[in-house]
Amino acid sequence: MKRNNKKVKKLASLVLIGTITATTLIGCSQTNNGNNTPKNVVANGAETNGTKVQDPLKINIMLPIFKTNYPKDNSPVAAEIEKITNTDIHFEWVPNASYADKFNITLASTKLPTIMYIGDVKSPSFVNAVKSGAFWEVGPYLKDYKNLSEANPVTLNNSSIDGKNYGLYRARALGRNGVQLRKDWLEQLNLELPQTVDEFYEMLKAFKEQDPDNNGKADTYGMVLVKWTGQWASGFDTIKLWFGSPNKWGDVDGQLVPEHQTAEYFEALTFMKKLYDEKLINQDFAIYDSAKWVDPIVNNQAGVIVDVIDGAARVDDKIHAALAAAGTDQPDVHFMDVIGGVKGADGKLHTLPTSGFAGILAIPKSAVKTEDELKRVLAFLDQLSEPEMQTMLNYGLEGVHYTLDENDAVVISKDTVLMESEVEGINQMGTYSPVPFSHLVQQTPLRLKQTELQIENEAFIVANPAEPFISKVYTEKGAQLDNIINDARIKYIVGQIDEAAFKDALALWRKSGGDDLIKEMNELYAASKK
Amino acid sequence: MAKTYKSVPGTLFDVTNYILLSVCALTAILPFIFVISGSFATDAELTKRTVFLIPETFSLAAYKFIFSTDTIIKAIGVSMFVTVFGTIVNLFFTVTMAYPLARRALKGRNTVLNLVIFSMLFGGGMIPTYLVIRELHLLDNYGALILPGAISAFNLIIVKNFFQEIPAEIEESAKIDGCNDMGILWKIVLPLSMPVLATFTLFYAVGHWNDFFSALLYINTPEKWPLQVLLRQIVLLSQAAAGDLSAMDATYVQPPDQSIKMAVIVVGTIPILLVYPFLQKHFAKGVMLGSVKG
Repeated sequence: MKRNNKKVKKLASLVLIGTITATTLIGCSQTNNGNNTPKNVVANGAETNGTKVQDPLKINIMLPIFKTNYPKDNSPVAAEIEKITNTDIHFEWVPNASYADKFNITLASTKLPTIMYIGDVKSPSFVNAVKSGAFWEVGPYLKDYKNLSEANPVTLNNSSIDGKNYGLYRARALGRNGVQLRKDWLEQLNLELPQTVDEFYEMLKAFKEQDPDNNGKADTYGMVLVKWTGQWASGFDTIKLWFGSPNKWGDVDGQLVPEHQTAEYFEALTFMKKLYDEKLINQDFAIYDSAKWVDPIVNNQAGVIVDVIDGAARVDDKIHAALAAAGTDQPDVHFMDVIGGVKGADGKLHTLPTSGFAGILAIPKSAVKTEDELKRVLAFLDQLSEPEMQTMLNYGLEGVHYTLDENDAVVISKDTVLMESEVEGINQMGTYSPVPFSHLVQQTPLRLKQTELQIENEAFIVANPAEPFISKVYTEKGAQLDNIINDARIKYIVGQIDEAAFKDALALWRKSGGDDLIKEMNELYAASKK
Repeated sequence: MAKTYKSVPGTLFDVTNYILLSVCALTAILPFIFVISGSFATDAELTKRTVFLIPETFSLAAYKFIFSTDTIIKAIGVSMFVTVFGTIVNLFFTVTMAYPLARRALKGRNTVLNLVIFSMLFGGGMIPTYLVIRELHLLDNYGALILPGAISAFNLIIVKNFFQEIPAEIEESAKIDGCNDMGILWKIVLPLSMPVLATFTLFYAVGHWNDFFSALLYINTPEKWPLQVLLRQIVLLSQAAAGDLSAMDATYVQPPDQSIKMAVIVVGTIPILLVYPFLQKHFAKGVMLGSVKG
């Protein structure tokens, strides 16, 4: 018994010592490793991650995933792409909601994938990495590739850092924003699509007062506005352009001026206040969650959304689904219509552009060591832009994941589990430049109109002249500065403050760093013109 | 029980108290009930009615959808494994470290304690920790979710203080009766420490169950994601789609239906809530004992 006890005693003290050493060691290594490891890592990376010219090309690709299912490395579509492009692809899926965190830690760890999706090109972590030479500048190489060479110069400029491209942009429609509205309500009230701001206002008023859903109750209003106050598609950001306000920054006599200092911006704000006071927009817009944006439209409560044009077809689908559930669907009728916008006082359309791209695909130097390897990776991405490859990225394999109907339109498999686990998400690695897909899903008249409008819109976009600039002041204080303006404009719209108090907020903005921002932006602007 | 005499103001006070406490309880419970009943409602109803407690049409569609693939089930498995195993590891290491530190006879006790407190005050931060984990080859390994936080310095100190409260005389008498140190710990100290153990079981278990960030950083294979990573993904998806340009895709990502989100929240929350009733009894005692010094 005693001997046993001694053994147990020894064991206990061993465990104890072990624990203490472990904790102290962890504590120590936390402080040390920060400096020591990166070098080792690069060395290790060369051994394990090296893409020596060997067939097929090994590609690790880090992409965001939006669903809870994801295509596996060896799933049929990925295998087919590997076969065609002579590659061996390994996907590193990262949940989209947490991509930024994972992105930062991956950057810091210096063990980077072959191709890395960069969500925010202007984010400090990426810009710093670029400045320290972590990524290939791909700009000069693009001309050598059939598809990549046709990249849109505007979007290339937008996605650049100081005019240099450190990745391939993933193209999106530039003229994507517009107005979605209830077509059946317009018809019910014998209204035409609005052409001017006044007609737009009259339409909202009619939607509130003239019982557009014909149920005999005053239970409708004009437009759904959400709390989202970002740079795009917040409704107001589109509407302000109708009044002639610049998009973020305006060029007044060669000087950059922030939008909220223009009279047109304030005019637009006053218009919003009028809509609010007359209850033509939802009174709770300042806290209304964007997740529920379309609900009032689907439920016959409101008639207008100012957002992306292509949202209309999705709302239309939802209305159809709701009607189908009630057994009163009319499949051939469209309940939604779209316009690019309404004409301003100058008789012209002004629409809010997108940046034209959704993130870039960058190629880290630590994973792709030589120029030859880089060229192979670029060739791979170039190949993905071939029309048939784009179709495959989006819809999978013909006969398995989709079929073609008599009009050559894609009919996607109804098996969502199959689509999610084998197809959806793979399209994240396509650049979609320069051509749109060869095949499209079945086009309804509404969808065709949407596509047309998006192209039409490009002629009317109000570009932000400060788009390519990376501002130090904004990086430091941008969030507070934006908050000042957002707060003030919401308070002004709902009537908590008057014009004088709004002007005070603008003065506060200038004092809190706005003046520095204006100065810096103008310096960057002047430098870019040289 | 004899009836206690109550004055009018006293009754009034009680009534007001009951009302206030009921309101507090309701504000805590109602959102839960809403989410649970919302998960059984059809999506059409959720868009139509804003707040309700009993769905008009009872539908299991959201749950059917969730369990149509094995992704969530797998994730629940991962979460349970990490929670159960992680908590065992936590308790084992916390107790075995706290007990010796609680004994004044141990040499170098203060140095070790200071080191513990130091680690509590100065953390390495995200990136150094990540590098450590990588160098230890724990990336993509459940060990990365369990080992780095095996001992929480704060919890350790509370447990240590609790052990100190146990009269040394009991231990001495046990020793005289022929019990060794391990025996004292297992047969005397731990049985006396049930409240504190229950409390920290709960703290650690809830911590593991709710932890998504370390999984996000250290686990690269989607098959090994615990439930919270998926939960966050599903719940945040619609916000991302509305607010973030880069989230918008060539083929638009349809945000999941409201009812599916709620069903996922239920699936993600209920299991850990079920642990509470069993530990509740000890829990209140344990929290108090950890803090109040006698």
